[in-house]
Amino acid sequence: MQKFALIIFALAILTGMAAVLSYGAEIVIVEAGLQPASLVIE
Amino acid sequence: MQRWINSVTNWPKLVITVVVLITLAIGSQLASMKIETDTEAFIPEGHQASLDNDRMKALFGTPDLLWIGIVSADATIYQQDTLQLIQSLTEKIRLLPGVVDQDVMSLATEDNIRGTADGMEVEAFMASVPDSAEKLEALQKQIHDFTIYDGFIVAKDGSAAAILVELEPHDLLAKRGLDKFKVYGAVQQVVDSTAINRPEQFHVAGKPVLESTLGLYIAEDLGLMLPLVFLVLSILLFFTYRSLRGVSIPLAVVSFSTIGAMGMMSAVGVPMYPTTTMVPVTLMAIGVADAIHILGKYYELLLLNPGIERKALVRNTMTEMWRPVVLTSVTTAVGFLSFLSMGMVPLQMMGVFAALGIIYAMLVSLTLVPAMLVLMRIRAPKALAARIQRGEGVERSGLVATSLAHLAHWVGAHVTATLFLTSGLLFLSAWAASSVYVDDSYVSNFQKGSAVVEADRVINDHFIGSYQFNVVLEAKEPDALYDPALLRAIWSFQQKMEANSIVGGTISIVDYIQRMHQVMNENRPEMATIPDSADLIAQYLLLYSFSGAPDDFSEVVDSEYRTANVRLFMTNGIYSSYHKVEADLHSLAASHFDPFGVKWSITGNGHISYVQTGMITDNLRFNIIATVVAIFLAAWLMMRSFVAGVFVMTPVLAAVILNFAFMGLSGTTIGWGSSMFTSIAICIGVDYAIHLIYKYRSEFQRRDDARAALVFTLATTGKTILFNAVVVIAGFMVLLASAMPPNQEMGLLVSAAMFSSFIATITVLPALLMAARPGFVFGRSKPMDYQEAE
Repeated sequence: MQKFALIIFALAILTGMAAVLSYGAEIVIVEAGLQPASLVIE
Repeated sequence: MQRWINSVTNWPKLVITVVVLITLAIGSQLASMKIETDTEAFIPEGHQASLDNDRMKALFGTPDLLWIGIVSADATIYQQDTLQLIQSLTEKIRLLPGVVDQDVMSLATEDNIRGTADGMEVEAFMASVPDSAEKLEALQKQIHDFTIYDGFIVAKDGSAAAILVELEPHDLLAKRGLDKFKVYGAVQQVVDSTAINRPEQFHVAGKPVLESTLGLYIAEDLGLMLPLVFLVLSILLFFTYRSLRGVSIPLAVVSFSTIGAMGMMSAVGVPMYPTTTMVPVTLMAIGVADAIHILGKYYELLLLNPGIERKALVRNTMTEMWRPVVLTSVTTAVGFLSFLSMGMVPLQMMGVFAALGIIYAMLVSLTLVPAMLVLMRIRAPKALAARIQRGEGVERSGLVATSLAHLAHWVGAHVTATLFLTSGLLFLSAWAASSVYVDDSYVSNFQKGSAVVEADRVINDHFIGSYQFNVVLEAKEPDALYDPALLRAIWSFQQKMEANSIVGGTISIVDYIQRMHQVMNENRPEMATIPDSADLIAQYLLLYSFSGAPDDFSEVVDSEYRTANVRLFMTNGIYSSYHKVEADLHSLAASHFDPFGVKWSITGNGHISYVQTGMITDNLRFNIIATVVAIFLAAWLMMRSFVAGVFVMTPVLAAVILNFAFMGLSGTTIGWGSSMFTSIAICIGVDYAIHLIYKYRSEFQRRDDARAALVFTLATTGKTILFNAVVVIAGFMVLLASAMPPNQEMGLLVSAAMFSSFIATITVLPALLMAARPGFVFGRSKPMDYQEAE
């Protein structure tokens, strides 16, 4: 069971890092009010 | 190393003197520190965007404009009183040193083009301030008809007017003992003094304002943040150790390493960038760790050997601690050096000088700390002394140690459950982390509601926009820009670009030619077009030159009419809103200008900031991988075990995944501030795992009982790691007091990552070790040479 838990954990770390590295440069429609939270322009 | 430790403990005063003198020598360079806030500094030298921008400036001198907005209290600036104010303010601004006098633009400086019986006449819009309702109305009509100025020097609805100021180039300012901060300061002062008792609102915006204000913020931030971190650290250290040495030794290490790193930065002429403002805070939060771990071991050995002699205690402490101190410092420094992969000088310098500072902190920890400890009489903190007297074990020394021991019991008994629970959390985090994306803007460096943000909003609401893209067109032959077909292509390009909602307006030579054609045809609106004949266009321009100034078009066309500058004004500087603009610029420029064999390049401050933020998108992925690989390799080599390298990385990776999930859920985007947190978090967080693994292995070798070893490890080193984490978190939380939102964001993210790193180190890492039973901990081969050091 511990070996299985280790495999699942390794998969979880790999999936997580894949998600981290998959960030993109998404297009945000500022005019529609979908403004990123970290920006302060209104 | 033993010889080193013996030497340091034999000649402590000499060691202290040498360390102090070296640090003072390096620190003496601090006075020459400069501040750099130009976005262009983020672009590496030789980058195409940078080359294109320099060329555009050389050809057209098109600068980053400073906008002074005057918003009328009565909905129109076409009033004698307001126009007089504009005229006098313009005159005052033109006289300021560092301002390019002839390039100041306002209603008081610009010329109208008028058709006459003899040809064309160029005359000032406002040779004198209109003094009747008819004249005011006529002026309003003239501006409205001359489309270039409508929305540029006067708001389209007439409610506001602008004075556009061009600053002299950087090198010219430097020759006159000036810089953009001083010139902006002088402009602001003139505006402020004019604004007294006036009904109008005054706003100053534009890139020079943003850069100057950021420079002020950086200086203010450093002045506030350093004492604040120092204070927070002192309080934490005092409440933990309640002794002079417990406070003075760690503070000496952080002060020396910060002075060392910043002094070196200044000595080699690297300016203070917005990114490097984080170096001192980072060094203070991280540098304290070495001393904390050394002191932790010092007190632990004292507890175990109450009658020990002073020098022997220090030597034993250092013999046990030098390896983890060197290992954690080297891995952290190597991690910071991975910032070199970011491709942007300010981020690279942040990495390089943080790394140098960490190595400096390590050297100070291995010299100054033992030297100071040897000179001090042995005195355990009162609480610790009481426990020694009661004969209590280390596991029971205080609430924290007891709680950590309980946790160790639980984890030891629930290894599989711990792993499954964490895996579940990580899968959920992966889902949330996948929505994170890159976005940034220069204005996001400032607090919402601050004067600079408000001015940016007002200026961009009323006028065509304070952010610029420039498209430079270069034809093969002189006079190519008389060709009506090419001019029509430029006009069509401008029209299509203006369809973008953030493009407030565009200006090119075509606007002037169309205006000339119109005024030469009884000012009929339908004649505001491009003439069909190149000869006619050449004649118009010749006629204009008889009464206009020779440099009237110098910002949009060269004297040979071979190179043109199409200026596009944007109403915001947000990266994500530039994606479509950039895509359109490229595709439309190709489709409009390639058929003429005209070379084109895209530049301007908007493009520079787009490229700069785009570099984060391109480089951050590689930077994260480089940090992970660099630290993994360092750990593998120094611990002489591949598997150990993998285990060391696990808790920090889990922490990074959790942080990205937090960013995804809270809508936090990746900008220059938040782009740094991942590597910093990995660099610092990895130390916790290294300390835990070292101690756990040592305890297991001693007891041969995995669970008992864990209980003792968490009760001792776990407690030190907790304190280390608390100090780092508190240190980075100080960034929340920064005037710059990216610093606040970064402080919050690093603190959150440190917290998750700590939790993962004391729960998941032991569970992993107990489930996998790797040889580097449970084997007898002693690959880490830790036992022999004891």
